[in-house]
Amino acid sequence: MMNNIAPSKAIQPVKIIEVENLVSQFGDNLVHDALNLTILKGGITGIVGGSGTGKSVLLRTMTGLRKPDSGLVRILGVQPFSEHKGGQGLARKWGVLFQDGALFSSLTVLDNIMLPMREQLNVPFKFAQELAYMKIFLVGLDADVGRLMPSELSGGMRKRVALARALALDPEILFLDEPTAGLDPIGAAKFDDLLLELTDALGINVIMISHDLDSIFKICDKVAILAEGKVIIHDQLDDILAFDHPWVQAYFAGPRGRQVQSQIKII
Amino acid sequence: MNKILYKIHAEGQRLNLQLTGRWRLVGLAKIETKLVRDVKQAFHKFGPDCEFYIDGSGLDSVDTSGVYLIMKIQQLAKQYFGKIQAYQNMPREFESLSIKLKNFDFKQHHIAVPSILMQIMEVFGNLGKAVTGTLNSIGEIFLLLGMFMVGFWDMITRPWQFRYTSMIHHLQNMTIPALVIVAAVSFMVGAVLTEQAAVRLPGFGAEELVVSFIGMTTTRETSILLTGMLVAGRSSSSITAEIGSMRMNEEIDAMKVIGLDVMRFLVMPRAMAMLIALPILTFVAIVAGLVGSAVLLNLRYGMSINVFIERIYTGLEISDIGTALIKTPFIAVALVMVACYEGMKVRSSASSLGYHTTVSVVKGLFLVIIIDSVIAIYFTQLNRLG
Repeated sequence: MMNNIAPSKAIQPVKIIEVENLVSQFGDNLVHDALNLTILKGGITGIVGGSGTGKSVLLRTMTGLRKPDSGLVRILGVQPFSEHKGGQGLARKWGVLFQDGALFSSLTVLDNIMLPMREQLNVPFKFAQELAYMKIFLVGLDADVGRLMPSELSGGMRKRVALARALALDPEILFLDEPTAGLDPIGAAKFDDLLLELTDALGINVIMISHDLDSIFKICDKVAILAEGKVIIHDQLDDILAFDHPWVQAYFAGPRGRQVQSQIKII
Repeated sequence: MNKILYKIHAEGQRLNLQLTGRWRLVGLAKIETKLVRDVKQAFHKFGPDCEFYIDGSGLDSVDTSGVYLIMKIQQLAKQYFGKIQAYQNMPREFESLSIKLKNFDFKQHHIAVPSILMQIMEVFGNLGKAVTGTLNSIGEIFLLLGMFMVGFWDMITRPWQFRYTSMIHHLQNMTIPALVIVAAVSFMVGAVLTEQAAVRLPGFGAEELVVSFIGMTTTRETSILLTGMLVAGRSSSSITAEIGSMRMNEEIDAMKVIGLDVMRFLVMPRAMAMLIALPILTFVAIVAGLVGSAVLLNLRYGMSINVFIERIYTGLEISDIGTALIKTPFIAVALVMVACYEGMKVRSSASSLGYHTTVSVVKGLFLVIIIDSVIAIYFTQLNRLG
């Protein structure tokens, strides 16, 4: 799968995300203590960790919503956080899927998807509308959904629409915050399939925070595990399963982890 | 920096669309209209007999919008030539993406714009909705009054269940931050009204009456009107926003499920707090208004404070203050009930919160004026009869 995703010209692995000695602190609570993480181009990277290990804080720092207390974050070679529009250029290169979709409640689904195209790239109205319908089709929804308001959508549909909006500018990097949280197992499995298909076809790099063992096993090429304020391991799943750390073992080799592993092997 | 993204050239009966460069949304946004027009022109120029090829050998990269545009041109060609035309030398990304879009219906993509007649009809429809909405909200007033009475009965029959802490909290929020603004506004209005009266009344030979006239107006009308309006703007909006966001957050549903009475927990503490706060604020407004006119008369017309106080004593009765204060419970209940009810109507969108907050304030202001006028007229008539 890695080969399919790698774009035509990549010979040397390109670092799309570099986090160096990141420190995040809330009062006395040290969330990240000199965290290092480098993500190379290609594939889906999962970020896993217990509650309170700062997964969401890391995502917020990577998307420039939070200033690093110390250390350096570079996305595609650019520092995302800046008081002066430094992160602006990145807005065209990344897409973010928030946990509850974060659709703009006063706009229709179609307008939500058209908004980044219209505002960031000045795409003409008609072309933007056509493309928005295409994105709705790509995420597997009916064209009629375009007319609805976000409050009229079910949870699964809202996530799909949010994914369509995140993909509106064909980003290089897609950040997903718990993409399958709040979906039923069937819906979650379908969403995983959709993500796999799309990343395969579009060649996007995906960074995903997840708790869902099913989707981690199914779609992640690599997984980074956060614990003790650091990334304790960032590797392929097989190596992680063999990694000797109490939390990792409890997480992946616990009853639920074993169940999923056995299912995956059967498939 | 418009790079050339396509070339159309013909070799005999063969029409070539040569694609070059980066076919990504950034560049395509600018050329889409022109490209479609150029392709159509070329079709017409070369006629339906020619062979049409799309050649992607020069493409550096292509994204979904690029793929979409290429497939759209292919659809155009299909309409024109009646058969599907081949691609040549397309990059690998194109293959995988075009498979995904194979079943996409390229014709469905336009929201029908309603006809002018329908739009005009819609204006009348909205007018009708506004009328019935107004009628409904008049009916609502009685509903709310009934709800308040039930809640009040519940409170006096089971006073140990009343949320005193909550009431004190709201009382504090409603009075202390509002005192300064109420006093300041009332002081200014008192002074301005006095100035007007002091300039005009002597023309009728009624200099003596300036103080008692102003004292009467300030106590009976302006104080309660100003206080009511300020409270409608400050407290009604905050009550609606509070309850509305609790509703959006499903806190109200959680309360119901846990078996807590929304009326007892949310509405009655606020209503009782307002019942206490509004008379206090009104009294402050009366005092501030009188001080305003005393200060003005003293500074501009040299009337000593002692004379002012004496005239107030002779011109005003205690019942004038009573008339103002008797209005406050009605206004307080109306404001709180409307604010809470509008808060409960909020649905799960940010704009509905804004809408209902606005409606709550507008209805509140309207009710303040209506209640004030009705009670004022009632008491004036009583005085005449008595």
